[in-house]
Parts: sequence; C-alpha cells; structure tokens
Amino acid sequence: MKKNRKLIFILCIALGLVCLAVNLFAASQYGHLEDIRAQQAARKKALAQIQAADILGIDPDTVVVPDEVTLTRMDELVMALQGARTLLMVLGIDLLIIGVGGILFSLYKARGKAAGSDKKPGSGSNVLGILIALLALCLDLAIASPVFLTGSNFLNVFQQISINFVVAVGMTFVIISGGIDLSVGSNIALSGLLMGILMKNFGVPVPVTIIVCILFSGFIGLVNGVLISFLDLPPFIATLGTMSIVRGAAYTVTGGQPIYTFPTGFTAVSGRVAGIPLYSTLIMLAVILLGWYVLRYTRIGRFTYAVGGNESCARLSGINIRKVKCFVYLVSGLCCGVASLLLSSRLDSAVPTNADGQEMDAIAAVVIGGTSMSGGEGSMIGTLIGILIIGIIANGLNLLGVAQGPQKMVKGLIIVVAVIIDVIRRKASDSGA
Amino acid sequence: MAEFLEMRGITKRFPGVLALDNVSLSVRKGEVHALLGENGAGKSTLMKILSGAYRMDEGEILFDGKPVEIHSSHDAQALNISTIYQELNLTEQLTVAENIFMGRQPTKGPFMVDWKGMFSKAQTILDDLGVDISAQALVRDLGVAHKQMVELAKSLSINSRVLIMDEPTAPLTSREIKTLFDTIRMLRSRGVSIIYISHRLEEVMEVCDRATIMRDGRNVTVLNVAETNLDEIIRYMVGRELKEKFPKIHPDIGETRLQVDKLNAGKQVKNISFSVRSGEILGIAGLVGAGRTETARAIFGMDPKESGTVSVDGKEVSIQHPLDAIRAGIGFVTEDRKGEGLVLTMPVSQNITLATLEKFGAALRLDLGGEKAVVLDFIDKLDIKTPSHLQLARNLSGGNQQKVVLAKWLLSDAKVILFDEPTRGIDVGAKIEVYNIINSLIRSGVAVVMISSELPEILGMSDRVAVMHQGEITGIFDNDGTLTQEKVLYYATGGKKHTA
Repeated sequence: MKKNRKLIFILCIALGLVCLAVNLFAASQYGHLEDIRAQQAARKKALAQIQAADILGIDPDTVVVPDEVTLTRMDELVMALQGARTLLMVLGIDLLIIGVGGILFSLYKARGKAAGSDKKPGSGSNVLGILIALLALCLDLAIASPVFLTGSNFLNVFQQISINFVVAVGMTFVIISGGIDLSVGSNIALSGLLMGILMKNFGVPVPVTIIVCILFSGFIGLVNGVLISFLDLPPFIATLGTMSIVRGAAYTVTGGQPIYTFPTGFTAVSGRVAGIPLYSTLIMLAVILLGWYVLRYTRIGRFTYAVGGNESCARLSGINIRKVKCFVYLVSGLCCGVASLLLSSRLDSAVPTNADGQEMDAIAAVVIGGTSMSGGEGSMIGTLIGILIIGIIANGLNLLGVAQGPQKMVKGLIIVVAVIIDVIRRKASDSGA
Repeated sequence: MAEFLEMRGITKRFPGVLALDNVSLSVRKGEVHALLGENGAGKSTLMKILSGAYRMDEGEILFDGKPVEIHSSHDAQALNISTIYQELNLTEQLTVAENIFMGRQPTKGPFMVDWKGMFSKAQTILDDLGVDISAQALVRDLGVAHKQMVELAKSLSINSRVLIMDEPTAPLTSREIKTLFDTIRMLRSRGVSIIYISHRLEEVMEVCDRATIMRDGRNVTVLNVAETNLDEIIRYMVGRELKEKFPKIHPDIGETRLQVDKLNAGKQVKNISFSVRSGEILGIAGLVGAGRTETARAIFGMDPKESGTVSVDGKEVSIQHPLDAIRAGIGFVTEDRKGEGLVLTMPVSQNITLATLEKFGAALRLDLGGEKAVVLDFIDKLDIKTPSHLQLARNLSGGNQQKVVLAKWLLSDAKVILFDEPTRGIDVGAKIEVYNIINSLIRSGVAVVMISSELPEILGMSDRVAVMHQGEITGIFDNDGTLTQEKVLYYATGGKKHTA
C-alpha cells in the first residue's frame, strides 16, 4: 500500500508535468494559430469582397483569393487545447503540488521514523496539510481568474466570510465538546429582526440594542445547552428543534416582512474607514483571538476538550459536564449574536430568511479545519483556515460564473470529503498506536 | 510436530518507536501457545499484525508451510484466524445466535433469514461447548463469562484454525475460568491452535503447552511450559530477578482518614461501614458482582447514594459529584482505564493535570509553563515511557497509561485514594512499580483502599482486608499473617451466612 501511494504521487507529478507541457506547447503554438486565423480571415474577407463585387457588378478580378488553409490534425488539436489552457495549467500545478508534497511528506515521516525523533505528534501536520490546500486553492484561482488577486475582490471575500467567520468560532467549541449546533442560522435571523424592532419600533439606542441582542442570541444558545445537558437530549435533535422554533419565531415577529434602513450609527459597524471595513475587521479579529485564547489558556477551554474526548473520565476528574456543555452552546449563541450584528449592519436590513443554511458553512469550516466530528480534537487555527477555504471556494465559483445550484453541490461535496479525510486520519492514527 | 503457523522476522515501526524488531513466533497444530511479555513488549502489536489490523514493515507469515499475505482483517478471516479481544466484540441488542452468525446468517430463499435454522445451529454449537446459554437470549442479558463463550462459539462457527485470546480470564471468576480452560482443552484436542496472551502466569502454567517470551519488541526465548517454572518465566520477561512480588512496607499508622457509615446505594451497596487510617491499606476482596466497585463509585459521588455518611479526617462531607469528593481529598483510580481513567485524545500532560487544573493559575489564565514542569517531573518520577509529554494518551502502552492515571491522582494531594483493580492487565514489572507508588503514598500518610480480584495481591499488600458478598461486607480482618486465601474466599462466597 505504501508503495502504491508513492506510485500515485509519482504519477501525479508525471501527469502534472504532462499537463504543463501540453499547456506550454499550446501556448507556443499560439503564434501559429494566429497565422492560421489571419489567413482564414483574409480568405473570408476576399471571398466576401468577390461576393460584394458580384452584386455590385464590379470586376472581381482585382481581388486575389488566398488558398484555403488546410488544417492538419495537429492544428485542430491545438485549437481545441487553446480553450482548455487555463484548466490544464491549474490541473498541472495542482498535480505537481500533490505529488511533490506527498513525496516530501513521506520522506519526512520516514526520516522521523529512522531517527526515532520524538517530534510533537498531533495537530501540527494536520494544520499544515489544510494550509497547503488553501495556498494551492489561491494559486489556482489566481491563474484561473485575473480578478481574484485584486484588492477589491479580497474585500469582497472578506465581507462574504465575515458571518461564517464568527459563527464557526462558536461552532468549533461545540464540535470539540462532541456536540453540534444546527440552530445558528435561525438564531442570526431572529436576533437581526429583534435589532430592527428594538431600534425602529421602540427607538432603543444602538449600543443598548447591540448588547441586548447579543445577549438574546446567547440565551438561545443557553437553551440549547440546558436541553442537551440537563434533559440529556442528543445535540442534533435539540438544536434541530430550536432551529425550527427560532426560524418560525423569526417569520412570526414581523409576519414574514423584512425590516429596512437602520440608524446610521448601526450601519457604521460595517462601514468602511479609509476603504476598509475597519470595525467589522476588529470585531472578527477579537472574536477569533478570544476563542483561541479560551480554548488554549483557560480551564473551561481545557474542559471542553476533555468532555468531548471522554465524558465519563471528565466527570470522574471532577469536571461539571453540564456547566461545560451549557458554556459551549452559550458561546455558540453569543457568536451568532455578533454575526447577526455584522450581517444586519452590512445589509442595512433584517429578513426572516437571513443566514439560511448558515450551519452548513460553519460546520464545513470547522470540519475542514481538522476538528473531529466525534469531539475532543480540533483547533481554532484549523477553523480559521477552514473558513478561508470555504470562503475562497465560494468566491472562486462566483468569479468563474458557476450558478448557485452547482455551488451548493460543491460545498456539500467538500464537507463529505473533509469528513472522509477525518475518518481516514483517525484510522491511520489508531493503527499507529 | 510440524509448525502450523509461522511468523518470521517481523519488524514494525511506529513514529519514534521500533515496536517489533525481527520477532518470530511459531505455533503448532493443536497447541496452546502462550505469548508472554511485559506491557509494551510488543505482544499486542504482533497479534494485530496476525489479525490484519496492522501491517508489518518487514518479515513473512507462513500458514501451513505456505507464505501468506495478511493485509486486512478480511484476509485473516479467510485464513480462519480469529481473535477474542479483552474488550468483547458483540452487538448487545441482538440475540446470541445473531451474534454467532453475524453477517452470514443462514437464509431461506433470497431474502429471508432462516431463524429456525440459525437458532438450532447456534444451540448445537453452544451445547457442544458445554455452556448453558440459550441461542435466543439477548447478549445484553448475559454475564461477561457467557459473553466470552458466545465469542468462542462465534469463532468455532467460522471454523477457526488459529484462535488468538487476549487476556481471556481477566473478567472471569475462578469457576468461570475453569469452564473456559475446559473449553480451551477441548478446542486443542480438535486441532485448533490457540495463541494465549495473559499476565496471569499461573494460568499459563496450567493451560499452555509452550510459551514465547518477548521483551522490548524482541524475542527472548521459547519454553516448554512443562519444563519450566514461574520464576524462570518472570526472569525472562523482566530480564532480572524479582526479589519480591509484593514489596509490602509498614509505615506508622495514624488517625482515621476515611470513615464510611451505613452506606446504601442501589442493590449492590447495602449498609457498608468501614474506616481506613493514615498509612494503611484496606484491601476489599470479593467476587465479581459483590458490589466493590459500586461501593467505591458511591463514595466518590459517581452514583447517587440513598443513605449513609462519608467522613474525611473526622469531618462529614456531602458528596454529590466527583468534584465534591476531590475537594474533600478523595481520589479514585478506576478499573476501566480507557473508559474512565483517561481522555485518550488528550496529551499525557493534560491527562495528568485534568483533575487538578485549579493548581495551575487562575481560571482565565492557565500557567502552561508550570504545568509542563510538574508533568515532566511526574513522567520522570514514575518512569512513564512516552516520547513526549505532548504524546496523546492513546498512543501509550497499558502500564504507562495506568501510570498516567496514577500521576493524576498523586497530583491531587488526596488524603484517601480508592484503587479499583490497580494492576489489572499490566505486567509483572509494572505491577511492582504500581505497588511502590502505593507504598510511597501510605508512607506520606495517605489512606488507601484497594479493591482487587487477585487474592495474592490483597493478602500481599493490605494491612486489613474487608470481604464483600452480594453488596454487604461479610467480614473485616487484620492481615496479620493468619489470614488465608481460603478464609477470604469462604467469606466472599457468603460462607458465614450459609453455614450459620
């Protein structure tokens, strides 16, 4: 099997080189093709002139008709290749990266084995893997679309990921603790409407509104936590229920109507300062740094891992499981509140259908980031990369003009692949025990 | 007799570890072959290669003289090699017959399961084994011993030629062990080759024909069991003479530290009263199901209490949750290391400090540096073999995992520590290390309660022995040299009541 894997990597390199070579060949034939096209065009023009002369009754003898260009098979092939040049280049580079990366990785591992080194096991290599995937993705898109590497597109991507960014931080906590939160999208929608109602119908000042609504979202999360920890509901069922209840409530409070135009103080949160969305950037940064810190440097963060890894051992070690579970869903809820703030202020509106399917994106980002769906393992840095990958793929598909339907299919596919990788990795580390 | 199964020159590397170094094993037809060695000697790894769970890096396997490739459990199955693991592998909600014929139920027509045929076939196999189990019983209603018999029946039904048994007697009572041995002998007479892994050397002497001994991933020797003795085997296993199996010490015994009064909790804990003093080891003996573990769980707040009091150092404490127990100064080393002792997905260091995180900085600012220093100190002091303190707990061998659990409770500065089967499933050398750790505890004034099913261990280490039977304490005795295994067994089987 190991040999097979190496063979696959070598094949990847070979294929990649072939792709690049074909691409180069196609590129070098570009001039030749231009000639052919020019000749074809000249002949067409001459023929047209003759036709025109015929109609006008002018003597066509003055026009010299060039011979018809005979296309060799080769020429036809090259012409077909021209259209696929970008694809070939992207494919070639990806294959090269996979091949070279794979071989380097196995060499590195082999060296580690032989030297008996006590290198730190764990998440390091996982994060490295997805980081490489992210870079490769960026490279591909940079080649495939000239717009990708522009500043305005970056701002665009940034804005698109901001909601998922904040939600995924909370989701990381939940999934590490061995749970799942499906209610995030509904939570965001209801919280957004509440902001609108408070500000527009009751004239509540902006800062108070923001605080109240974030707390309200936290409360929804806490309800999830209580259902799961005190009533022992499976997280999937509990949050599936609240997802529907809260979404229903969002439709009910406004009778399905959207709320438009918020006070300027509110929309300023997503406004731009010197061309960049300063406040929302700071908020996102604060959320992820806080999340990272709590997971790594606080007792409750450590307990989150312990509860996800082995609940009965955690209990036996004196950890209050219920408290930890309530905490993670509370965090997820609070993150939804912040996400709702970002979303409503950017759109300058709140709609009951907002953030529909948000849970998919958040879970995808967390899982792609290497957090295990079975709990106990994962990291905030992984989630960050996962968020970027999801966001950049969505952006890339938009740039390449892929419709919404296929986009959803791609997203689902990515989740499935990420979980497959998670399962394979788990198996590998089990047999490496 | 020709060798039936041969593993030659097997080498297996894990990151940072050479787990198996040119190991060989050969088993004859109709032989019970013991595979012995300390924890981490490589027994499990070798067996996992044979059963297809791992792949070897070098070496070859010959089956009936022909080289074979075993790349997956499926390959092993095709060669009629089956394994009975310590953790039994049955589906609890299904019937015995369904478990026996799992995945290959006899069918009637293209879709229908032939229930009648399945039940009668299963019953035939069970009767053949001489066990009194109904094929229609649900597995979850069976005791551990019977579950094991179902596993045996399963491997018989697939016509196993090589049967690997990993610590098969660990959960069994002595009578059940006898039944198991009869079954093993019967299988042997039918030409089945059995590879028998156990830390209970007396049993190896009783039931095995030959023994392959491993140490540190290498072959040490192969012995004919009939021509050797326990001491020789132990010497080969640990590579040195063991002066004492039980390094009992007698520090000064002080004040009462733990006092349990009329504790009631469920059917298994009835009116339990006992006390343990500083520097003392109280052994709790009894058969499986006597309520020993349940008593410890109730004291520690894992299970709810119905009545009764627990006092530590003379002060009554209310324990509703393990956290209360830890705060009161009680520690609990459970018998189920992987299920309750460790978070396998966490590093060694975080496992050690899990119960005592309060010691490392404020709730909002953990002192990771201080934690690391303490953990490294423990790894050094307890000689925990791990490549790094960041190694995940699941990658450690059994004995080292147990030391991690011990370190966790040592760190808690507990006044009383409850040990439930502290040496189950770990090898002779590591056992001594565990005893020495317990010794250092009582020397520092800790009171120790030690639950154990191994009577020699109870008699070898305890100052006093409490014997339990069906949820009650039937007697507490001073272990002053006059207490015998027979006497303990007599009380453990409820002798007092039945003869009175």
